[in-house]
Amino acid sequence: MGVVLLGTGLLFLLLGLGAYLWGPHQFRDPKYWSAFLAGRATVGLFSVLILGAILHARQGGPVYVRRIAGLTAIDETVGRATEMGRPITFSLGLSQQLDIIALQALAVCLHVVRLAIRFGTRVIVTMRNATVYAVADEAISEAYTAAGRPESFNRADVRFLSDRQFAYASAAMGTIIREKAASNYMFGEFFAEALILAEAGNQVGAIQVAGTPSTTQVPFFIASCDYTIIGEEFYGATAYLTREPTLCGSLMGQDRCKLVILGCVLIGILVATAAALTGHAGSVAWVKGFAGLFTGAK
Amino acid sequence: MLTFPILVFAALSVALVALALLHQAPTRVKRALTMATTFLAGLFYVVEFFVPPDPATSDAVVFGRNLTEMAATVGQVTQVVAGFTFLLGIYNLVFVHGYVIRRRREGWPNSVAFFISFLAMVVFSFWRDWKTWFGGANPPAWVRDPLPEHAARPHDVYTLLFDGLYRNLESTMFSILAFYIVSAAYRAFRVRTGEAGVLMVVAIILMLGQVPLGMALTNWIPASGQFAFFRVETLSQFILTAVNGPVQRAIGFGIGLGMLAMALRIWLSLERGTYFGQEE
Amino acid sequence: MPPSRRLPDLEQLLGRIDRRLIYLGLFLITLAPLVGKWSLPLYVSRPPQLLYQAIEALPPDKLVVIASNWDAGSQAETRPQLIALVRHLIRRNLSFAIICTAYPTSPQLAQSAVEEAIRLESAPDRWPYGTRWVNLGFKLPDDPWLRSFSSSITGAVKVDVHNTPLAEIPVLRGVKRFGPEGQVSMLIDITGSATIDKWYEFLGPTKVKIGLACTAVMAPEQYPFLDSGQLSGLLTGMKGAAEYEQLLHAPGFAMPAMAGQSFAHLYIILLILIGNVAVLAARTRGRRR
Repeated sequence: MGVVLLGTGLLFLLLGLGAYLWGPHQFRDPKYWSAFLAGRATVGLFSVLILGAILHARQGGPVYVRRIAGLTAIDETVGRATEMGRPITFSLGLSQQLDIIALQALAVCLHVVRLAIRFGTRVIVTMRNATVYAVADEAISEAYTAAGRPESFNRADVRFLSDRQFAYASAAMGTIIREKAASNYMFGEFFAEALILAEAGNQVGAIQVAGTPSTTQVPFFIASCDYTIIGEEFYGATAYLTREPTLCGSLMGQDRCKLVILGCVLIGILVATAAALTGHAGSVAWVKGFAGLFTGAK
Repeated sequence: MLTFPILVFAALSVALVALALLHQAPTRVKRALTMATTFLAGLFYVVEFFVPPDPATSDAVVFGRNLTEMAATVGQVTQVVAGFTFLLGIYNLVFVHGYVIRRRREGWPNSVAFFISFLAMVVFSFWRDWKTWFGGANPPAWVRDPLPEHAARPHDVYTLLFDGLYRNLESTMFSILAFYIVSAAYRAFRVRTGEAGVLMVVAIILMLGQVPLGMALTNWIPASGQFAFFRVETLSQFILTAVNGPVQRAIGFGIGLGMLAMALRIWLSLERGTYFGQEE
Repeated sequence: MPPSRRLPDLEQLLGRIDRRLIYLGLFLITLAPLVGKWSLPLYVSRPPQLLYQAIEALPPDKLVVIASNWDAGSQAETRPQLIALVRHLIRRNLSFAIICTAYPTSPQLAQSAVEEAIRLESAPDRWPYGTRWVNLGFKLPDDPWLRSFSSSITGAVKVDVHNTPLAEIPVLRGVKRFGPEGQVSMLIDITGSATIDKWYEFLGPTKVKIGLACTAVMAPEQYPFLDSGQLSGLLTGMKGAAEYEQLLHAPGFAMPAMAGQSFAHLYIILLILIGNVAVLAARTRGRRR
């Protein structure tokens, strides 16, 4: 890990030196670099930390992941649906394109589908975006084939409902109620329709697990679902469920990045507090200037 | 005149041949091609992000090639691709609802209603705007009302379907939320632990601070002075900015890092086995 | 006393009120102030004041872009916001362009709201379409397009919603870039979805002012951006629209509707308290046993 960091640091130093000595004239202007470097250096540093941690985990390094109740409950809720003989409904959220959030929701969905295939439980997957549908249909079909049950795959159970928010909500609500889902999962990006879906699940007595990075909908999920996965726990779901070294290493890398952020926050607090106590306005201006690099940085 | 159709035909033919060849290729070739394509596509944006921009235009220029402008062209390509995937979505809708009608499954009249409303909207939307996009005669007045005095509320079928039906149905669905919030709050906000008690008190302060009736309850407290903090709107703003703000930042940092990590894993194809195939 | 004659205990009575009765109560309590035309005095909070001041400080010779990213579902909150903001821009004599990146239905809804705002300001003659404002229609908000739009508006958008080339639209002549050195002084996002995140990312480097008018549920996560200066001001839901109408001294839909919202909030609080009385009653009964 140290070698990786050192090597990357040296590479950037050499690149920077070369740019300064032989690059266009703006490369010798400090103002140009202060606007350009802040965001890119942060992304570069965090990327190196994450990739380094993945490397460490792949080489057998220990990684600890704390217990997340909602993710542990996924296996139990699939079992509950099997016992009750009722289907599972899985909503992939309302992402407007095939983005990171939709892909992560699909990853969790595939975990549920693979479990359900083993128990012979039906899973109805609904989504709002046609591109997500194209990928989900193929991925779920392949999951059935890989499990040796291609004949069990029902294309009609992977449903693009509508690309309109409330048309999707009413169709998903109708699906949950008509199919009398035993377990209802809602993973992905949600907006106002989150509570509509959750209340529909409540009406049929489904056990509900929701996971979303949309902080605005978390309170509604907490009020109406049995388990809720908040914020970055959503991105850690696949690591938690599969315990695969690459994914666990990625989680560890994220935690290291958070330590760096925490360090910056603590330094800023200490400097600002010291400046306020000693009446040295210049230090506060420095802290604000440093923060300003990131709010305007690309 | 013929160049454009010939180009389109040639592009489609090349695409079909490439698809056929890919379909026949062994799994490890497909996997290698997927990884290479993903890496090269991501590399474009990584280079565009990290290359120092031209200070005059803020564009990333590499060996005389303006990568930022090329990204705009890529954007137009992705819009076209997204348009094609929409056809897949329509196919799925027709397949699912057609299946329900053919087998007379429970709720099949709903599927009939889907086809009727889908076709009505498609037909009248295209008919209304046909002249704008494809030329030809004006649509009849009952499809597109031409009278200026009706500009605020046209008397045509399209307006009936869109403004009269669709907009009102959407508003109705959104309005259901108000009722569901009440039943969810009544069911869930039961103080069984200390944390639940704190949650309830804070929720009540915030709800009162958002509405005039709530503000009227503490209007008697002077707006300036040491007790002004206890006015419900001041307390509510304090909770939103000084308590909620840092928490949102913290969650935002975590989410941002999660997205960066996942983007890196997808770009470098480290997510193998999650979506397609098994982990090697 | 036989079980059938026993009065229902407090927990049963208060803790399990039929959902339909709850909904009926909400319907009546929200309807009453609207029918009775009750109005309540409103205190204007700091975020709308900041947005008002930001628009007051805009240079008169530059364009304002309004990203109208709402649809029929959220129109109770976002439509009054758009109308109030457009009325302010008209009073400040600031030309504006509408762009929609969230819903294909947004351009029509925005068009009708802007036309209503122009009527309310009695300005249909001095605020003609094309000369003082334009509707650029809907565009798919993928990252390459947003990047292109942030660096060159006319590079990313070729025609307006009526299919007229931008070169033929007077209000957009010479308009290219965002920011203090460009021709667009501010972008105001009126939204019911997460479109603002993309504007922070792509417009942040241009240093253009960004304002936000969003649904109430989205507002809590925007306060850090208001605090850091990335947002010049914030309108929160129908309350934000009502506060802005108060600042403009131009009552619209939002100000009278706040009375209904007030009573609805009190109703929810009452129900929560009733539910907790039931929990307390159940605990007391359990302790007695």
